[in-house]
Amino acid sequence: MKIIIGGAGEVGTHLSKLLSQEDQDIVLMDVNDERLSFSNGLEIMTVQGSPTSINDLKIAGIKNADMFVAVTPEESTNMTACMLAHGLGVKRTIARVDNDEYLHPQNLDFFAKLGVDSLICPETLVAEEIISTLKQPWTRQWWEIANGKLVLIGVKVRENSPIVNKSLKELNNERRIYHIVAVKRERDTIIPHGSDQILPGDLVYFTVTQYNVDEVKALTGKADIHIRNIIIMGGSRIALRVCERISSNVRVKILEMDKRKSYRLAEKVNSNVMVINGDGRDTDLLIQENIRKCDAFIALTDNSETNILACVAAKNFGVIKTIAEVENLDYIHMAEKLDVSSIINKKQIASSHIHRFLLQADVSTVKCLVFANAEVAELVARLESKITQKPVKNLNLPKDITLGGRIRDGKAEIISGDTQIEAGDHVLVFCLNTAMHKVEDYFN
Amino acid sequence: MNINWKFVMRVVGCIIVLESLFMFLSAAVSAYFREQAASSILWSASIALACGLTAFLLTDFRKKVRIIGKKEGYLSVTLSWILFAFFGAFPFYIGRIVPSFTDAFFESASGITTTGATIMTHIDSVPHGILFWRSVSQWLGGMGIIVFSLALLPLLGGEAAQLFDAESSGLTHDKFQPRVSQMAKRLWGIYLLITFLVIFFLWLGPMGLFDAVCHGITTVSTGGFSTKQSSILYWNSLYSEMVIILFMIVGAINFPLLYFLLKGKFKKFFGDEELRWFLSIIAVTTLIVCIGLTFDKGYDFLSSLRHSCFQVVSTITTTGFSTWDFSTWGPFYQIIFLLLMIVCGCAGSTSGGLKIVRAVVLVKNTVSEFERLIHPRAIIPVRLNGAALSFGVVQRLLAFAFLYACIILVSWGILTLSGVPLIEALGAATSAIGNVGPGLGKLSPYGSFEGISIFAKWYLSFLMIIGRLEIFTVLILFSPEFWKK
Repeated sequence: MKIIIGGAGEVGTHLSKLLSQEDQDIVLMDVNDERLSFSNGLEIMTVQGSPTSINDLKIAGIKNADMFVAVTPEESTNMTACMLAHGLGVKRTIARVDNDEYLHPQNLDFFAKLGVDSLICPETLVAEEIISTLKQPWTRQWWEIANGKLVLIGVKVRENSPIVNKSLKELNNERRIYHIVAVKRERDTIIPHGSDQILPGDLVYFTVTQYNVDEVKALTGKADIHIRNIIIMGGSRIALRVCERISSNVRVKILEMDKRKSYRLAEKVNSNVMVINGDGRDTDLLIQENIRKCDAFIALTDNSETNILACVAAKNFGVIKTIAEVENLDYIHMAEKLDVSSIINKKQIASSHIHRFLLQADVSTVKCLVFANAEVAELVARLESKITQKPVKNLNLPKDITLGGRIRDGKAEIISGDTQIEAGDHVLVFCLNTAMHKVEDYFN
Repeated sequence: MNINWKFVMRVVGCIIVLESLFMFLSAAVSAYFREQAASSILWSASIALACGLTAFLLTDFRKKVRIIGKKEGYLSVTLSWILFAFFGAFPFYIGRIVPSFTDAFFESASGITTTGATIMTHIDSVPHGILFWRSVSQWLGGMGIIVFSLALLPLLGGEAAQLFDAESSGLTHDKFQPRVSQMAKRLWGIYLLITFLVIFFLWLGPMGLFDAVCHGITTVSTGGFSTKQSSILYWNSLYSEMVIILFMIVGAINFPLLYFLLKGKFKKFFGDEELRWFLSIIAVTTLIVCIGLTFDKGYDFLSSLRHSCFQVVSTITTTGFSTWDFSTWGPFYQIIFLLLMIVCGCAGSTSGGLKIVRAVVLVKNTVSEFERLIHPRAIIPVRLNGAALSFGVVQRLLAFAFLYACIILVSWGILTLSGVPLIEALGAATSAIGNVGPGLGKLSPYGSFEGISIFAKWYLSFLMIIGRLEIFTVLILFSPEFWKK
């Protein structure tokens, strides 16, 4: 598949690397040739030129391209680029936008008529991820499929958990109420089998139906906390989106260093949010703003190091849930080791959402697991596809792919070896190392 | 001097010509009742017409005005109002209805600023034409004479925004139409509609057509001039009182908001924070006064409800009609009415005073100040209708409120110096700057301002115009900065 990406910013470069590893033909466009220089040695073609120039788009080969992705920092540039690309004959277009109201479902048709088939807003996606994490603070990761009938949960397992030091066989689990799809230990992510043990400090990924979530909570030795007070460090656009989406009985404090920015912010947020002009690294200020009674600390400054360290400091003050935005991919593992509860990476989230449009299978949602370097997708089994031929244990699935659960006729079910997938089932697929394209074969 | 005087003269000329037209109308009414006053009103109208036309023609009206600035806006609006009051005094003075020119000017200023304080003591014997002129001047002043002329005359065209800003009230002057003249037309459309409604409903009751018209137009403009010495009590009709209460409230609601109601945006209308505060304040104060009167003074519940409601609404909307003399109720109730006189109706309405929205923001800002003490680094904005007000707006409002309080206190002092008793002076100062009408003590609804000194009358007339134009528009003319090149 030939994909043209306009804009070699953070999202653009990450996406082009990701896709070129998947054997897609990538053309990356940017006005600035310095931004394109990273691609030396990678299987990426670069075109120095503007995504809003008809001539440059033609040079990039827009006529024969299957998809055009506009991810420059400017919303209006992206929209214009998509409209031009659509007019020049590309099959599908995706634009990155900042404006929340463009994303309303009722506006989809309108934008499709203009030639913009899909819109993504990284800040909104990140904010939604933060909100869903805050709803289930005992988890590291929480992802709902089919309106929450099936859930994928990532939990850090400690000494106090009943499942620690037991192998999967011992745990069982006759009723098949949950399925452990993956375990992240140190730097490795493994798909566990019967003899593998769960060790303290493991990050365990469960799939579970909505009715049995509490049992997983008990198994992992977690208690319920209600998030009532939040401190957000850094008044970025993401912070603003989080404040817009959070329920009004949660009290939020935003710490922003820049005075003018904090005034602007104060005029935009709702009454449950208090904007404080100050540095989130200032312990006196944190104590004054009562960080000890705070349930969650979210660090969203531009600086990954600051975010990680601020979260560590907050943890020392006794904050249970800490979330850090880490844009530097190399730091993610370190942050995880330092016990930051959740890591947010804007590039990865945005890229995996764009990714979903590229898959031929009917993917409704894809999620990127930042910690585990893995992806989860909800796929629909097509008629006479490979996956429907045999029970799961006889399918000989590759090692880095596992099936977590399925939705049939609106009912969720955990998959075991004997399960027979049928056409039309929605299946939750867990795969390592961006092996997503391998999955396509099984479902088409 | 870098002020475009030609433009100022043209605006003022226009206003005076418009005024004369309504004087001719009053003369016609007077002639219909076969009164002698008709000729004196006719004379006044002719003088006004002549002066207005002269001013207008002198400025060479065919030439397009050069671009004008804020200064011309403030100057022409202030001068328009003062001269409007000046020419408006002629019908009273020429016909010797009011023998002293001071009194005539006071009556005229009280009319166009919709204050409703009167120096007349035998209103029942005043000719119909004069009564009609008194009421009509309030009707014109209610929505604002500048807005009125903007709606009618395209002459002031390009520079309308400056004038509109200088005359309209409220925190911010948001436009709901791209052009000021379009906005003025819609505002006056609503104003006319309400006026016809109230006249019609009053006419259905015990009032005759003449009284219904006069009271209708002074109700909707929240002015408060009556055609009877005993005001609304003359009819002693529950029906008329209820109609008047309703339309006094309508007159004190933000007119742009009424426009949205007519456009069917009910949510915006009923969700408006200022309106909710306004109605709640009316309800709570009515209840307090009503309970007080029932248990303290021994009136029966229904009649005390009727009178307390009427008095509260009449005072807070700055109308000043009365069915009862609240000065006889005792000091506690006078304080309540004094507070109502300070707060008054909604911004962008025909009422005067500090305005509900300002009072609400002041209270909210004070409450947030406590929060700011606990969180010294926090930036806590004041919220209105869910949206945060910018800090500049709040700052301007604090300055306004401070100035407002200062003017009341200083005027209190000045009035006592000129011989007005203590309580009466406080009431008169508050009432004049808020365009309410009746004051406290001897200057209560059934009293008259006739007895106060000549200086106090001029001073109060001046206060009324300052209050109607929301202080800054007038006082800026006294700042040296204004006259600097």
